[in-house]
Amino acid sequence: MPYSAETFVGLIPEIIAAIFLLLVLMVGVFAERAAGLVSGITALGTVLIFASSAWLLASGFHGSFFGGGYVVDGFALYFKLVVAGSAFFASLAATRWAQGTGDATEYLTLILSVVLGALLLVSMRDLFGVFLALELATIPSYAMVAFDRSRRESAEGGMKYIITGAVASSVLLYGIVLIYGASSSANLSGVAKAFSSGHASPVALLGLILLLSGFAFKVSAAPFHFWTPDAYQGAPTSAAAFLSVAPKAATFAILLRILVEGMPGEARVWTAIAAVLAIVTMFTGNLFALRQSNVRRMLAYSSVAHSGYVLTAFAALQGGAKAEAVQAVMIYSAAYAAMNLGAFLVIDLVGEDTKSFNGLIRTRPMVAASMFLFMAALVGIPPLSGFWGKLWIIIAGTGSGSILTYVTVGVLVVNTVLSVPYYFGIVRNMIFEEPVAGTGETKGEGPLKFSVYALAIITVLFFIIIIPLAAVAGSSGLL
Amino acid sequence: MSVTLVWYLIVAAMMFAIGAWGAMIRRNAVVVFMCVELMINAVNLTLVAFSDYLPKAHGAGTGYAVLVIAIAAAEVAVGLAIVLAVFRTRRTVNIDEINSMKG
Amino acid sequence: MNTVSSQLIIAAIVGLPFMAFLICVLFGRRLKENAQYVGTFCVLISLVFSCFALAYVAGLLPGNVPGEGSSIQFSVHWIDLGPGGSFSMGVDIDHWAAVMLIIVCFVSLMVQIFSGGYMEGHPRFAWYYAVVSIFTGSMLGLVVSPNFIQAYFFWELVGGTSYLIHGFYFEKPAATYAAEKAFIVNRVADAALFIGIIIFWRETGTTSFSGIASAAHAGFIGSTTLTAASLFVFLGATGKSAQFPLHVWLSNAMQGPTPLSALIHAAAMIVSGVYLVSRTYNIFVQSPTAMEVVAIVGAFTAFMSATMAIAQKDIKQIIAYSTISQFGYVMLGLGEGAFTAGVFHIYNHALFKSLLFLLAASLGYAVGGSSDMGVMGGLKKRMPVTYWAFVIAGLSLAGIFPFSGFWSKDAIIAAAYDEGHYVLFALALFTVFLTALYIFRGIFICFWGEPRSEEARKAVEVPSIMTVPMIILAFLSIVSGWVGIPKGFGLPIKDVFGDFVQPSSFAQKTLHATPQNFSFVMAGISVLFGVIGIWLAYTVVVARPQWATAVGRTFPRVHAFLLNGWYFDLVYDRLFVRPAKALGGAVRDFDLRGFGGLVSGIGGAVSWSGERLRALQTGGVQNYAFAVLLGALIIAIIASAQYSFLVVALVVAFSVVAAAVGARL
Repeated sequence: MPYSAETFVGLIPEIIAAIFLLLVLMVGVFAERAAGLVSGITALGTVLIFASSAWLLASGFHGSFFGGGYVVDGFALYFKLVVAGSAFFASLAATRWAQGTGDATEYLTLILSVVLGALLLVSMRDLFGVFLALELATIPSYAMVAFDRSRRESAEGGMKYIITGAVASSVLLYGIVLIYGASSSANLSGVAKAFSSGHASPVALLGLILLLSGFAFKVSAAPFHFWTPDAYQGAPTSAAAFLSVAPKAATFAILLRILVEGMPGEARVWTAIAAVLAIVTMFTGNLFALRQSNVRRMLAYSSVAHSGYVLTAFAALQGGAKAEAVQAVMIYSAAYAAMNLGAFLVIDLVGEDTKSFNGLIRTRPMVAASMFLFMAALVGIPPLSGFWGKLWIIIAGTGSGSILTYVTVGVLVVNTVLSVPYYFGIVRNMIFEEPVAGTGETKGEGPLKFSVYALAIITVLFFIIIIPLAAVAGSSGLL
Repeated sequence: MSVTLVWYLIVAAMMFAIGAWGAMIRRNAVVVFMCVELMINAVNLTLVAFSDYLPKAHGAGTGYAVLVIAIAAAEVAVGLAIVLAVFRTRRTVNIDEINSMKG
Repeated sequence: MNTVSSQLIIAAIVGLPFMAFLICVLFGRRLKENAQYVGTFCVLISLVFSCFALAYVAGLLPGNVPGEGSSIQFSVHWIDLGPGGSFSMGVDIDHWAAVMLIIVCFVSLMVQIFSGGYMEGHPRFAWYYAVVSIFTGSMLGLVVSPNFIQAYFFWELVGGTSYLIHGFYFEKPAATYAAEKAFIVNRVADAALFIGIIIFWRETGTTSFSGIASAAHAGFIGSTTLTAASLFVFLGATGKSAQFPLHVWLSNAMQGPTPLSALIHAAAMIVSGVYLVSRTYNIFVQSPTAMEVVAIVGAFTAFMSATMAIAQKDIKQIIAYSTISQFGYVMLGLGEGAFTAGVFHIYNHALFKSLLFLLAASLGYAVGGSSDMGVMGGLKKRMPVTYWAFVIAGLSLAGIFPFSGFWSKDAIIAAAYDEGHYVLFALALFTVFLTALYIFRGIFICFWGEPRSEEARKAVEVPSIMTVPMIILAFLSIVSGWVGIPKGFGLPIKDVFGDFVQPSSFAQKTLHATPQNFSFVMAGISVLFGVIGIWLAYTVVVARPQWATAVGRTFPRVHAFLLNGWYFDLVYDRLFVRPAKALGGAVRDFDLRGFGGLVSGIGGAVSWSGERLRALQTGGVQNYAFAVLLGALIIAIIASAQYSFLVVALVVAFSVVAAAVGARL
């Protein structure tokens, strides 16, 4: 029996996303200038997605559909919550900017398409399904990056993103096809058989290599990261904020699922690859971020560095700490979502030049305080959110029993210190520099400020939020 | 001489390499997209060959190939729209000249 | 401690200051000057509750028998790590922690009362009280922490909020550099502490202080690992307590309001380092090497910063260096196994050091905001209360009988002698002389002689809201040591402190500690050194000022060496800051001049491949696509290598190539 009532229950979040996607498009046709209305509908949609995912999670739902190619388990639902939550704040934050462009409907439709893609992505257990969902999340994001017609950088960033993205997609697809050829199956359980011996065929190994390259691009690991700063600098701020969080978290999730469920036999190979990528990525991100004068570009490099931190958890997926490594990825994604989203949204309020943060503590103390919290969280100072992610990664890394992973964890600690100056630079500008003119409040900032403050509160209260998160992550069903 | 799976794979790999090479050296953005199409189609050829030659795969790959074609089309559609947007602001689609952001 | 109501009372000790913080932040604009009542009231209640906690652990309340096990312990389950274990959040108040709670609350209370006058009319009055409250709350949280994770949590909170204090006067440009330096030095120290915690956690599967101590005792940790982890924790402690070699941040970080310095130095941030060592004492005692390092670092720091204090021109700087020096004594005491003497010194120091800073604040208040001794002088007649309080605090700091500092400092010095560490003993004894010299040099310059500025000529005594806390603290600086008069002294009083705050029986057993006997000879020598110091200070400042100038002229380099804090800043600048900046500059050049410069620097092979790469490049975005394919190739190499040592070697090559490609873009 391929379809049943259970299928529909399990797919409620995705169905809601699809319905609201169409709804926003329709409303946009009939009410052309109602940016507030459409963003309200989008926000409502994300809230419903969040609520339905939370409900499924709370009721302990577990289901596998479409011949085992689609699975709804705790792990997937957790990431659906992260995606829906960040989409909620991003769509609120997009209101003001989208109003100005006059194309609010299209912009919010794109956000919802990315959400739908990400929701599908985290549940996939079939490699071609993964590709489909990944592209569903990526193709709208190209358009989001190039959406700002008032700035030249936007189209340029979009073009750089889509050309490298298309190349990377074809590399990823090549990898998937080769794995499919080697194992005669695209389902992860079938793939696992081809990789089970520990000595996979050369074709399968090549497939693994290309697959990892494609994913490394999507999560902007060095040296696949070059598109990241250009795309984020060009993109509208809310798009950069959203894209650096939700699709990335979903991509990490599905990569984790593919590696853990599909190729446990080759763990030695891909943990080594992850370790090397992590080391290179952390150094690249932090060193390049050190000398940026554009805050958005700086945060783009910082997001590269944070990808490196998450990859450290991938490197720890061996030995006695596998469960903790999976939890580390989950917790880091949630922690990173709150703090990074918040930091990007502050840019939308203040401006993208470092100088526009000067003296912010005097002109807008609450915004400055929020930014201070986000920066401190990104550095990893307890009790803020970033600390917990790093804590879990370090715990997992130190338990992995592999020298290379220990080295990677050491590099992570070094990089945490290395990242202090550039995060701190913002704080210094906010507190000690003379304010510049024109950083006062403008109209229509309400939803944006609400998002920033709410994310700041989440960042601060993460030491309480961590309790249910850790419980869910501990019983995720993956491992 | 019968045409075995390996022949298909080699041809596809060569197509992929040619596409990748073209994507890296051509200056016109539209041509670059054509080269990317070539890469994706090379992969598609591999996919179809696999699904035809591997008995255990039950020919499911053919269905996937149709999906991939659709995705590639969507990608290029968005890509060309972006190229148009670039052309509107800069009056060029030469991707050498589109490098205002670096570092 | 089982009833919910009593647990709530204990939790409120920590919670109330945080509540005050929230109120002051949220309603600060409406509260204005009334914020002081919120802050003061909350900390007063905390103080009362702390007294309750003390009474409980002392066995004065019904339902509890006095003895070693009579600590307050309860915890809630916090985070579950699955098979890896779990973290809990809770409270563990033993005798020493109960005393510490009272110290923190009391000093904070005095500071808050004093600040009502000091900060009057400041535009950020409510914010000031918010900062004091959260700072107090963080420290209280640290004091009661039963495990490393919770301690680290509050440890960082103390550090983070101290940043608010350093940056309080953000109008002053000098505050920037100081705050930045403090932040980075403390990050290094905190990273070390965190590494130590993770090692302990990995080896024992727990983060609780007692759990680690017993696991170490049971042999779960190898002795080398134990020493290494303990030293990492100690390095963390040296960062917060400004001990050598991480002391460099403190002397710059004096830009905040002076009463807050009193809180930082006497009862909060700087204390947190030594407190952590005393709290984890059961772990430290199991590693003789770590204990020795603690003792040596402590003695050296005490001596070093005392010499630095001699040449300072600013009264706040003198007091700041004296804090470093005094905590050097505490570390020495702890390292020598004299736990009670060490923590007794923390207790005495809290009182006289907070007094000293409040006095410095009132001096600054009287002469118009400066703490430079060059504008003071002749204030003895004009500010009698401040003067006499300063003399009392100075005598206590110098360890003159029978002021409070004498009792604890003497015990520490005697412990160094008893343990046979004669070099450390000599350093500590000489530091007594230096201490008396620098603090009385400051007193004589500020209060004796002729006024050196118009402000000093017109200065009047500060208002009574400020003098009252000063008088209370001055009184306590005299008598606080009397609760710990050793039995050997021959007075018919009990050694209350020594009986109450003892190292755990486990630590006593491990150290084979023999109870110290009070030695009149030792005490006599140490007091003699102090008196000589005071006499010398009197001579060079008041009686024969030409001597000081002559010495300064004869040995200008020595003077500059001391004044600049042994040039540590310069050394660190050369060793760390400049290379880091050079690296940053190199990265920047990378960007500006492209790849070429670097290539010619690295050499022919890379240059050749760089040229080949260059031939491949036709423009921006295609390099990105190229990088994707190149990356795939690299991954392939790693995957096929399958040997970790090859991978490590590849990382280097890989980084160079990736950076090269990146720079070219």
